Amino acid sequence: MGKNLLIEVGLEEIPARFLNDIIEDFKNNFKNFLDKENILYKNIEHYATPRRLVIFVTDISPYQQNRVVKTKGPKRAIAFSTNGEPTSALLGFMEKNGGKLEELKFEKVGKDEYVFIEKNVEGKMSKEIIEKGFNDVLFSIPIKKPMRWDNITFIRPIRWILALIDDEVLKIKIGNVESKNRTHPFLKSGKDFIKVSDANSYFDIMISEGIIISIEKREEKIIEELNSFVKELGVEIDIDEDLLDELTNLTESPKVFSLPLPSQGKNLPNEILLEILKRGARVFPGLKNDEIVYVFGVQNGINRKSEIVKEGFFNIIKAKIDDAIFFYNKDKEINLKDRIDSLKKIVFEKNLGTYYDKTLRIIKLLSKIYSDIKISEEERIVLDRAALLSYTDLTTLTVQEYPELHGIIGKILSSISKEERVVGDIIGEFIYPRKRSDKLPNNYLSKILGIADRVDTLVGSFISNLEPSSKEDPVGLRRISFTLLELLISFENRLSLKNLIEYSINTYPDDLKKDFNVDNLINFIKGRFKLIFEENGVQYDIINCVLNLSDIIPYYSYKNAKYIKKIYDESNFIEFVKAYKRIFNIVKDYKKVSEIREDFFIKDEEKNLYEEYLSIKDYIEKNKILDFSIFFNKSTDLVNKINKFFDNVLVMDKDENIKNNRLNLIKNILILMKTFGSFDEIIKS
Amino acid sequence: MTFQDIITELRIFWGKENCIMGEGFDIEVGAGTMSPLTFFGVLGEKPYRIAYIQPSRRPQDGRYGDNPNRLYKHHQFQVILKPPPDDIVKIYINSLGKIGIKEEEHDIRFVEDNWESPTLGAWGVGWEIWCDGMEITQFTYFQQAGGIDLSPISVEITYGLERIALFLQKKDSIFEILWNDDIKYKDLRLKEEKEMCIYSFEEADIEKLRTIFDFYENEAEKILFKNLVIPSYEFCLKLSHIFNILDARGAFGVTERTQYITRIRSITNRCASLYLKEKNGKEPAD
Repeated sequence: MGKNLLIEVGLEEIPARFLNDIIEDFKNNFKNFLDKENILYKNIEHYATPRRLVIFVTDISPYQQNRVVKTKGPKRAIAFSTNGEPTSALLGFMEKNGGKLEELKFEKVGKDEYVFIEKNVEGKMSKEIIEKGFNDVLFSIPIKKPMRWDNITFIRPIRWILALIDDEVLKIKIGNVESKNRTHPFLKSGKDFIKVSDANSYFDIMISEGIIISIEKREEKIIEELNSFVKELGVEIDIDEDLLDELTNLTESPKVFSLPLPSQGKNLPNEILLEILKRGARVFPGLKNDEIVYVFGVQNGINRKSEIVKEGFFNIIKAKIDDAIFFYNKDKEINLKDRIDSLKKIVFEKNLGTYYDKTLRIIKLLSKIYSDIKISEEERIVLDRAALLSYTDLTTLTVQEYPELHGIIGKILSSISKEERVVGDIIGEFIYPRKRSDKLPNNYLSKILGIADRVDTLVGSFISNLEPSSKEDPVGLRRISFTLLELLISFENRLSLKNLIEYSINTYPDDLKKDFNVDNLINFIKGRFKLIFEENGVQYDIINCVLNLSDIIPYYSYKNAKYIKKIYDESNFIEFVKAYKRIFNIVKDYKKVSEIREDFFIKDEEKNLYEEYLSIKDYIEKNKILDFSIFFNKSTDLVNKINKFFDNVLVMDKDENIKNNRLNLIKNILILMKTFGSFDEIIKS
Repeated sequence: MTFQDIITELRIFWGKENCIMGEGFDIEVGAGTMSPLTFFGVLGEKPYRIAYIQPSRRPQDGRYGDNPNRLYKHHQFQVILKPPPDDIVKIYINSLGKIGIKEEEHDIRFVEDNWESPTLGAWGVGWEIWCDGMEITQFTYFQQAGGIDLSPISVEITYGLERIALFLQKKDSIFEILWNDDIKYKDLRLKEEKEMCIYSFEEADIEKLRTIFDFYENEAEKILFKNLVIPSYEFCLKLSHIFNILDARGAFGVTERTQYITRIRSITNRCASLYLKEKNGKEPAD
């Protein structure tokens, strides 16, 4: 068996939210380093706790692989005189690089032949290479919120390094810290350090210290212990993913404990209580019949008794609930409608004004959207009211303490403020989905408000140059676009991206919007749309077909793409695409579209085609058809007549009038067909 | 352990760690960080260790003494170590042992919490430290103060004394904490809490306070031209307190609020530069 390499970098607590990325990058950097240095190994394992970044490499070769290093010399023609004697140029090269005349190699580079010296370079000791290269590997990990100490910049101060190849200590130095064959125990332990005499014994030492170095195993342990409480206490546990991730990376020795919910909890609505428990006290709520009766915390320290810890947690949860009751009671004193003015004090974005400004913009935007959707007068009144109050809960003490409760508090207070029930429902759900696991709102009015709200944010952010770069997306515009599309395709509507954006841009002051480019934003949103299609298994030619249009109506883009995917292999569809392409190839660049003149038609095929075009166009326009399946099922005759036209009519007639009239005819047909997609993108046929 | 015993033990502990025993500053401040003992102490290269108790006023947190967990004024035990020793976490944990929080019995946890003071042009990274779920300390590695990159950096450890006493004495309300064996926290402070809240939230003359703000600001700038760094900074502290009262009253519009902060920061940052310049005889780099 070969030797194993262990490196444990010991730090002060790494913030939980960064731990996964840091250890992944550390491992990848280290792997790339070994590969680049030609050091062979069997496997690289990586582990991390808040205080440890661990790399374990199995079967690492003690030496780098031998390499052949080639050094290029002068051109052969220059290296030797006409009588074949080595010139001073060659002799100088050989002296400098230590080559012998009989060992020289010749190789063509480009047109000319050159002299080369080849040397076998023996691999250096892996240990030395790693000692030399380690700091670069560690410090090229990208750190999002770094700190500086002792002229070193990293996530948190590095306090020890354990570095061994089997039992041999590697010499690594970071600032004042030198590597040793020592690790540090769990924080709450009397010992100052633990000797690790062999890389392989590290794992047993960690186990006996009660430290679980694997992120996955810590998470598994927490879930397992929670599940055992589910059985023991007959409760349902709300295992919130974000909280689970955080607690997994906040502890290196996790153990779950249970507590009854302090009785004051009953004085708070469940939604508020859940948030206080999860985000405030960082414990998992346990429910029986939809009532929270237990909470489950994760203590750091497997071998510690839980009794004292539990008492502390119980008291702090009680205090947090008391606090929240105080906030909630104060918040109940002021009706939502009396909070509108206070929105003037809460900044939405520094260039885009306050939430008061945002609220006014959204109401204006809605009034435009109403003209594009089916909505009754009563529904408009409700939706306008909900929009007016949608952000007022940001002024409550509860939301200021627990921002995640925005929406939920709005809903609760709207019922206390005697608003119509549906107004409260909209306020409570228009902000969803906020993350991928969230559901879409139920009420379609909530969706419309959600759409207006997101369009406003997208347009505003693009106006203030907050559009995302490849690295950064501070406002989360990718997520917002994705949600906007999810909302738009979730119910039948004719809202187009261009209209929405143009309506929205008109709600912004003139000086802000002068450099705004609608197409930039449309293209950005289309980029997200592609991902939605890809996730739904739509192939790229269909995606291009429905998206390569100057404006899109997402609901129909999505519906039509699904339909095209279904009929993709049907002969009718293939014929349709062929006919489309026949026209497209001739008139794609034809710009001078003018009126079609019946009196210029000569042949029956063109008259027939024209009549068919008129009849189908008439139908599409009268019924405002955007659904491709309807058009497609009516297009059989059109396709036939297009083919007959091309088979019997020569478009490029000598008479300019006749020629242009024919071009006009087919261009108009192309425009009609293109309402449903750019079918030239379809590869099949 | 009584409230005053906790203070005594912390003083003894940090005294043994070679900290100067400072005193709380005698102008209203929102946090121990604002005391000149910290603000100027962290500037420059010279090693520096100090510990002191700072009564801290945050009008925004005032609840008329009705809320068991919130106060208009609370007490911080502030420790500054420049540069931070390598085993600072261990030292801190040991300090908890001295006030009856034995590491092996509790769940002590470091939860990321970064800190920024826009009025001081200061920021740092660190944690809030939880003991069995209760936040008992802010632990911050200062990176910048007065708009100046610190070298070396300092560590700031701020113990929330009321929280710790609440925890150790297992009380439901801060006002029930024993200050010493005979006197409760409420005996000493409840009336003050109530009245300061009434003043700040109901009686304070907002227009007058704005005028005073302008006056103090002028004064701070005027004397800064005469190189009176410390008096000028003291006026900044007064500005900051007036700002906090106005803010708690909701007296600012959004842009206005930012402007007030910028006005204070511009003076504190000049104080910091001037302080360093006098100390080093040269301008600080950035």
